[in-house]
Parts: sequence; structure tokens; C-alpha cells
Amino acid sequence: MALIQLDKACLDYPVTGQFSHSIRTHVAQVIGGRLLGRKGRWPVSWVRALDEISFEVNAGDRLGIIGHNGAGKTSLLRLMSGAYSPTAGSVTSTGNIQALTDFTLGMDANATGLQNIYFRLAFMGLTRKEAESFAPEIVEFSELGDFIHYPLHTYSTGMYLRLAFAISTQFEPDILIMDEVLGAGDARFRAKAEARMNKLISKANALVLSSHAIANIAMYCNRVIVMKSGRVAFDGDPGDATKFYQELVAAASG
Amino acid sequence: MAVHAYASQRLRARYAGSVLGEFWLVATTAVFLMAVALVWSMLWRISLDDYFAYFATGFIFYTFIAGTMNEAAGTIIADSRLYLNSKQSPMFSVFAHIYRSMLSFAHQLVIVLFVALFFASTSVAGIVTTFFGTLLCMLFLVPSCYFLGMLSVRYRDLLHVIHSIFQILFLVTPVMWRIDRVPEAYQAWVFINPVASFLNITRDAFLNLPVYPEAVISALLWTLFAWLLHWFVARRLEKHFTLWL
Repeated sequence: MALIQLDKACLDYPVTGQFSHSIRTHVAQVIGGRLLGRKGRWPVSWVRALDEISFEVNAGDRLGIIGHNGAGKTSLLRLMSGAYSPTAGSVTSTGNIQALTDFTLGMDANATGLQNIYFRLAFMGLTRKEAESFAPEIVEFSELGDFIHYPLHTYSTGMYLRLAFAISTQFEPDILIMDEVLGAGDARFRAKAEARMNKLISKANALVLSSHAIANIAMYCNRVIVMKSGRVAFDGDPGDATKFYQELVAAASG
Repeated sequence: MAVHAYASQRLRARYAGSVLGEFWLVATTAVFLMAVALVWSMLWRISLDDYFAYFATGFIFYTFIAGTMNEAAGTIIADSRLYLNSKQSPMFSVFAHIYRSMLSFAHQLVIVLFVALFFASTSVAGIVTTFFGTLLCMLFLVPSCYFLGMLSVRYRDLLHVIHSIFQILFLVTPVMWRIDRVPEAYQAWVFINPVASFLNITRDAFLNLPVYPEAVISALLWTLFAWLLHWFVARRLEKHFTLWL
């Protein structure tokens, strides 16, 4: 059974503008329309970001997603992670999904490192006791020592990212969704982070990785989708996909 | 636990850098209440003790009810990063927001306790009525905050509209003036305003003032109506609300 299945999934975004988001404009349109004897016009236009996407992600898949900016990669990741619901078609998934698209999410600069660990783990669904049992492991990995008792605003950027990385990668999900490969800290910590990322990726039942770095796609993925104008332009072997994408880039640059 | 952790974090962020934290707000509120009560008791020619008890408790309950609704409008928008990362119910923001308001309210209850000890005659029946009135109020606030929060995701200028409404609402809610000063024929009309109704079954009950049947009926009807709005908005907007964030 597929872990994630997309069947003719479409995604239409409302084009945000000053008037499309205004209740005063909306009410004026409806009332004005009624008074003038015509139906109120809705000042909202929609743009199709994803168009009839169909594919499956199965156990063992290491799926890479590449494409130009605006091709629909982030929209597709959000659709697969459940953040967006398709506006047409369907997306179904089984298993625990972890989306590492925003790994500093929910970090509070005024709270201490330890408080941030408890908060982030609570948000992942852990109880306070469970969070307390995992905290020492996270502190050790982040190499923050006594700084873990200081507020985040006293940290350097490297320390902040190390903590965020250690928390975000503590658990191994069934399906791992990533927007670019994560890395944090100096060269030594980056090697350690890379080792943990490799472990996380190898333990996950399926990986979905969107990246502009073709080298990372080639390193981690056994199947690649090339996105173009909200559609799947290619789905197959990483080598062939890379070639297809490079041809697209060459054609675009004339 | 996530709601508790998130609400506490937001509350901490609001008072970051203040040693007294939330109690600083309690102190400033107390000074404000004393100053207003002093002036208005003279203007209304009422004893300071009576007016302070009435106004202080009324203001604290009003701030809890109306403030929670007023700020609810921006709560889901403020948490948009949470919803763009993974699937999450917007009720999370609603519960965290109400929980945070309850924590603030709990701090302000120090003033209510002070009033009860030195300025007012409370009774067990009054306190029990206030307790159930507050529970009903919570039942009203959950769907109301959801409705306002979700609608504000769709209509961003709703925030300004709601703020304007609540400025007017303060004047037409019996916080500074008493219902029994309104001509008898018009008293029931006051309870068209849901905040006035909830104030009557909480603050007035606490101070042993009359609890009007119209207020109880109005509070129940508004609660039912709020849940209907919640149901309607959940059906219309919840599936694709993240697209509007």
C-alpha cells in the first residue's frame, strides 16, 4: 500500500490583494450588487499552483523533487505533509509524517534552551515526563552545556541552529519531508549533523526531498520528479531526471 | 501540554524583560481602577466603596470576556507558521489563546479577591452562580474566538472592524454604569449585548446584585448561536484555511 497517494490533485491559491481580503469590499459588493439588481462580484482571483498531480510514494522510496522557482515544489511538499488540502482530486497518506521545512519553528528567544526543548517536544505530542527524559540527549547533541539554562537571545546564530537541529531531528518518522537538506553549525558540528541526517533518512520508510542542490538529490534519492508550471514533467530515475532538468534549464536560458 | 506550553510562552513573550511580569499589569490595573472609581464615584454621587467594588470587578470580567474575543481575531494569523509546516487544527490557536487569557484573568483575580475581602458583600450562592456563569462564558468564548479567528484569516480588515466594535461595546456594556439606572422599560434591551449578559451572570452575581432572567436566556442563546457560527465556518473555511494564510 502506498504511503502517500496523490490522485489528480490540484491546488488553487487565492491571489491575495488589498480587496480580495477585505470584508468591507465584500459586503459593499454584495449589498451594492443587490441594490443594483445584479449578483455581487467577488473580488477574488485564483491561480493554479498544482495541476492534476498523480503519483505514489511507496515504502523505500527516496523521492527527490526539483524544478525552477515557482514550479510548485513547496506547494507539493505542503500538500503531501497535509498542511494544504487539495482543491480538487485527492491526497491520502498513512503513517507518521514529519515535515522538516521550518526547523526553527516555535523557538522562543526569551525562553531558555531547556524550556524550548520542552515546548517543542510538547508540540510534537510528548508529555512533560517524556520530554524530560529526552532532554539530556538533545542537550548533549547540541553541545550547549550550561548555556542550555540561558535564554535563546544570548546564543550565537550557530548555537541557536544547533539546538533547533538537535530538537527537530531527535525522532525518526515513517515519512520524512524536507525542503533542502538541513545543516547547522561549524565544520565539525556539520559532520555530526550530516551523520544524524543520514541516519534519519535511512531509518525513514520514505523520504521526500525538495532541493535546488542536484548533488544532494543524487546522493539521497532513488527516484526524482521534475516539476514544471505546477505539473509533473518527469518522474523516474535520478540520472535521467537530472538530464531532463538540465535540458529544461538550458532551454529556459535560451 | 502543548496548549499550556504555547500559551505560557506567548504570555512570557508579552512581558519579556519585566521582573514583575504579569503582576505589573495587575498593579497598573489596580491604579487605573482606583483613579477612575475615585472620579466617577464623585460624579455619580455614589460611595467610593460601592462604586470601586462594582467598577473594579466589572472591568476585570469585561476585560476577560471582551478582550479574549477582541484579540481572538488575530490569533490564527499570528500562528500561521505552525499551520504551513504540518497538518494542525486551528483549534490549537483558539485553545492556546483562551488559555493565555485565563492565565491573565487568574492574575487579575487578586483584585477581585481584594474587593471581596474589603469592599463587597459576597455570598456562597453568588460565588456558585459566578462560577457557573464563568463556565457558560467559556462555552461561549471557544466558538466565538474560533469564528472571529477563522473569519479574520479570510478577511484581514476584520481585525480593525472588530476593534472598532469593541470600543463601542465598552460604552453600551454596564461596566461603569448600573443596569438599574436604565429606565425599567429598556432594561431587557441591554441584554441583547452578549457581554452585558455574561457580565450580569458573573460580576453581578458575585456582588449579590440581581441576576436577570433575560440575561441568562440571552447568554444561553448567544452560546448556541456561537456554536452554530462555529459549525458554519468550520464547514466553509476550515478545509482550505491555510491557503489564505
